[in-house]
Amino acid sequence: MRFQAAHKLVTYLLVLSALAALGTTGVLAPGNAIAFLIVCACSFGVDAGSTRLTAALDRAAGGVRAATGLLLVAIVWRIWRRMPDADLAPAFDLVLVLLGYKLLYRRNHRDYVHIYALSFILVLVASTITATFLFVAAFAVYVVLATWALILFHLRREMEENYLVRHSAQAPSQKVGIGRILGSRRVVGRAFFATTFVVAAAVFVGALAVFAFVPRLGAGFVLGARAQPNLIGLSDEVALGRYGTAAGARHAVVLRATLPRLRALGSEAARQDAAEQLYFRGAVYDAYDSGRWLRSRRPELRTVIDEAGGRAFIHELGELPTPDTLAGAERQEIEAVGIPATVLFAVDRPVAIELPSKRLGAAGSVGVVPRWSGEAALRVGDDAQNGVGDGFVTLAHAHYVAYSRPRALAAPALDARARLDNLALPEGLQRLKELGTRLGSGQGDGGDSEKITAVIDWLRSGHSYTTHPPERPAGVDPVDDFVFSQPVGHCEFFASAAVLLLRAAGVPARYVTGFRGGEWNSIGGYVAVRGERAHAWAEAFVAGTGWTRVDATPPADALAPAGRLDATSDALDFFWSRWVVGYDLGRQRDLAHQAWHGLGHFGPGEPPGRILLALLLGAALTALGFAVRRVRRRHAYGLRFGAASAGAGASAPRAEGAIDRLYRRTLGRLSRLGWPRRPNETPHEYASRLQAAGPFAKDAAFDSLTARYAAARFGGQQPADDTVAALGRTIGDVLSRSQQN
Amino acid sequence: MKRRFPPTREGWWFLLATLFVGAVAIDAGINLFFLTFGMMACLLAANWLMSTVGLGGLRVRRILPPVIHAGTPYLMGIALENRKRRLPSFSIEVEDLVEGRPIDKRCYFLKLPAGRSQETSYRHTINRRGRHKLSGFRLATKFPFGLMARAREVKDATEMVVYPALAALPPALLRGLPSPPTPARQQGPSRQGELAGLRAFRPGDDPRGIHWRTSARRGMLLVREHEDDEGREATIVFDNDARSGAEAFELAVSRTAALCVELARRGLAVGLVTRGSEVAPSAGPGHLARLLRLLAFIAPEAGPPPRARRRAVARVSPDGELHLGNDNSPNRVGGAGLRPAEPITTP
Repeated sequence: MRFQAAHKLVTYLLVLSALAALGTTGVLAPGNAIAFLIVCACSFGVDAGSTRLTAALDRAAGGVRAATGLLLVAIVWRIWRRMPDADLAPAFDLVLVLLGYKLLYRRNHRDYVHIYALSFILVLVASTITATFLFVAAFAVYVVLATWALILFHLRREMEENYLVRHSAQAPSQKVGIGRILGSRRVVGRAFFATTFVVAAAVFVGALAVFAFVPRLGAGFVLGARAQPNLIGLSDEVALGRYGTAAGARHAVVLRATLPRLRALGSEAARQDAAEQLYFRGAVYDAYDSGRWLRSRRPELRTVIDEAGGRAFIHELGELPTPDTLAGAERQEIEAVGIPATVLFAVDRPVAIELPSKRLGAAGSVGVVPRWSGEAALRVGDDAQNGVGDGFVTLAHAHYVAYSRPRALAAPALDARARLDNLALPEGLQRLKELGTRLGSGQGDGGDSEKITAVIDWLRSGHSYTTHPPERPAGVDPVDDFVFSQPVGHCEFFASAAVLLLRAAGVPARYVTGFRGGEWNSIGGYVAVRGERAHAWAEAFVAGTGWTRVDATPPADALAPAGRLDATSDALDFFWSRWVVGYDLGRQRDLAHQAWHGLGHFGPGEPPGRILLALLLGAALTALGFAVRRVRRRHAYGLRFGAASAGAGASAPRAEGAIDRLYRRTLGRLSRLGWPRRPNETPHEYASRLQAAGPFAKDAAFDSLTARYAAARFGGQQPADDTVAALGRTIGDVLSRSQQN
Repeated sequence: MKRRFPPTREGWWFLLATLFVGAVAIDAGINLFFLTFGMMACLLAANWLMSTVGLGGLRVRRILPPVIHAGTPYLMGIALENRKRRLPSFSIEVEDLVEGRPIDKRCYFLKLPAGRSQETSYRHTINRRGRHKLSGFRLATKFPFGLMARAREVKDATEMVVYPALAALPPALLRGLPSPPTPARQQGPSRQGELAGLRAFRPGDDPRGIHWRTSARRGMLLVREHEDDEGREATIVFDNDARSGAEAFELAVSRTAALCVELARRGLAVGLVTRGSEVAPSAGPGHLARLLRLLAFIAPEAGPPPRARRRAVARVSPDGELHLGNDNSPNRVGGAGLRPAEPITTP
């Protein structure tokens, strides 16, 4: 390939790989991407001083610059208007516009440098916000192309700027036109690209090694810990009809949970069934007001958190945590990847949370902070433990370990004030209160459990589930409308109605949101929860048992499981998130620990582990490989220099003849006389040297021997034995005389 | 063999960017920044490694010009050989070193395939006659990325003799000199006339003048000298008096050198007499080189003024004045074919 064409092609491919890296973030608008690709395609034929299009563009440079400037101003205005909320999408557009401009005006080295710098910025920024493993593929391609592009750019610059000068002693030196060299096919070829590809691959592997082995100590001295903006979602209030509808459209995975209990089950079907039964509890609300669930934020409802042993133990007022709280609790690793909320999610009722270890020197620590009604959240700040830190951390990307129980910790009785809070009913809703009272009283002296059953049965018997509830009339409470007028609704209406009816029946209850069920991902060995599994249910306080989950929503049809491709993709994303994005000092420590165990502790008397054996086997195979290579090279050498006489395709080395032996013996004698053959000397050069000054200065015998030896070795002309014998005698005489002298 | 590894301007920027990305990665704990940081750090390492490989296995040598005169541009040839078995070397700069410091000229080799050799040259001018020592070479490359300029110094001491500058001779003088020989005319010493004696063979002598029998007996090459040779001899007397000024002395040296070259060009056997040294007249490029070498190193001396034992045809005074003719025996000036009746004096 011509040098100039190779350089241009590699530059464009580099830009496209940066665009692909940006594309993995999902923030690139398709329209903008298509517009940029069109600019790329148009600019490809524009080279300095080459075509009419270039000339036209040069003439229109003022207009293009003005248009670009206006576009930049507009983008800056978009960014400015959204301040202080960070929005990177216009910034990407800004970089793309600049990049397109530079591609259209590739005139000198500086323009190429700008192109490389802008594409690097795209990759750099993409690396901060990407959440998919596809980035690493784009990054690998980018590394290879960047290596090629930088090399070709450097060579071109050296050619054009500096040194291609023709000298003459009679005239001043002149620069040589480099068009011929730029158009040459001999500067870079297949071997060049192959070799530099190996270098690029090594760079990529090195980058992975740096990624894997640089300790994640953190510093936070300058920029502080990474914090996400606090997005509104599950945090403060829920307006009925909004959350469920919005969540129902989300097919993306928002939560991944690794549960050893599920892994231990015997079959994939059993794991899938168990995954469907899981409830991931999140936000809890205790106050209802005209279709909205709120937190009353009363002190008696405040969650209590105790720190011990690196864990945050969670309980409520009146609950009695015991020293063996974790005994029997279900451990789960939770990875929240797309939840716009600060609430910590966990299966059933979380009793303890473990967060990743704090980074050294981090400006703000992330901690578990108490909220209300057994709910906990993440907060970053200097005093996060007291709930007065700088800001909440949303679960746009969070890793933690939770310990859960099916029910709350042992609670002999609910605190009197908390009981009143959880029995409170809003003004109005008279029909609903009467209904609740009737359902409760209908159970006679039955306990809370019977009342709960009665409420669930009543709701399920006359109400149906839909994700598209009808429009509620204005001025009418949506729950009242759902219960008495339009008995169609989704989980939020069922849960709200259940809570209010239970309270009317005298059972303390509250409203809970979270996710119901998940898909067992057999590839990654975890439960994947998609946004469409968002759910709402109630919790009721049962005397002697404590807070108990009450799900009044009729069982809906099971959601269609993800296809194999989706599952594979999500498993890769999980791996990516766990081992790349979430790769921290703890994971490094775990890996080192496992490696150490794998090596089997080289202690005295302990047998080496399997990994040691594998290492030894690898070393032996490597040594064997080297030995085979050496033998093959020697064999090849023999074929080249030893079997020429046998013609092409000869495989057997040439047998040593009388002339060879004579030559070898003569060399030995000459060496002992102080005339050894130098390693870099050919036989004829050696003979010339000896004839110029040496034992054979006045004798052509050694010349003759050399000629016959060369003819035999390289020409296949073996001399007759008597000829060799005569030659041997002559040489012997000369050497003997030389020795005597 | 010294090695150097300074970053280029772009290299400094790249280094700063690398440190910035690394600092952000560590500070903010952005994991994928570690990947980018790793890529940048590895590109720097690859730059170092590839430049080391590129500079390895190279052998460089000079191709010296046959004659170098002070103040006259010359071409110094540089031959670079890549002795590596497989890998080519790209973008190699070669600089000559004078006392360990590079001169301001360099040769550039874009691509040197494995096992191949390439030659190029640089144009240079030395303004001072005498001995010049080249201490070695500096091989440098910024390949592959232009981030670091890796350099390696190779010791290769070479001594160059820079002959004096050739001053322009006055046209009146040139008119008085015999014409250059035509190709058909014999250029070497004459083989006619009486045999005057034998002398040692000098490079440039006609091999046909070798007296083989005596040469064989004496074990050295001897050539015949004929009486007729004296008719084509010219001896220049250069008074290198220590009392002259430095500038005038250099002018005198340059004029003497120019006269030597001009007379030799016109086929004369040229001799040179100075204070403290004398070169007998002879011809041939080897002899001219001997004269120019003498002039390259000549220095002002005290002592008695030079006197020619043979016929002097020109005298160069210490202040650069050129006198054509023989003060002692002006009538014999014409013996060398020099025509002027009056001595020509140049200011």
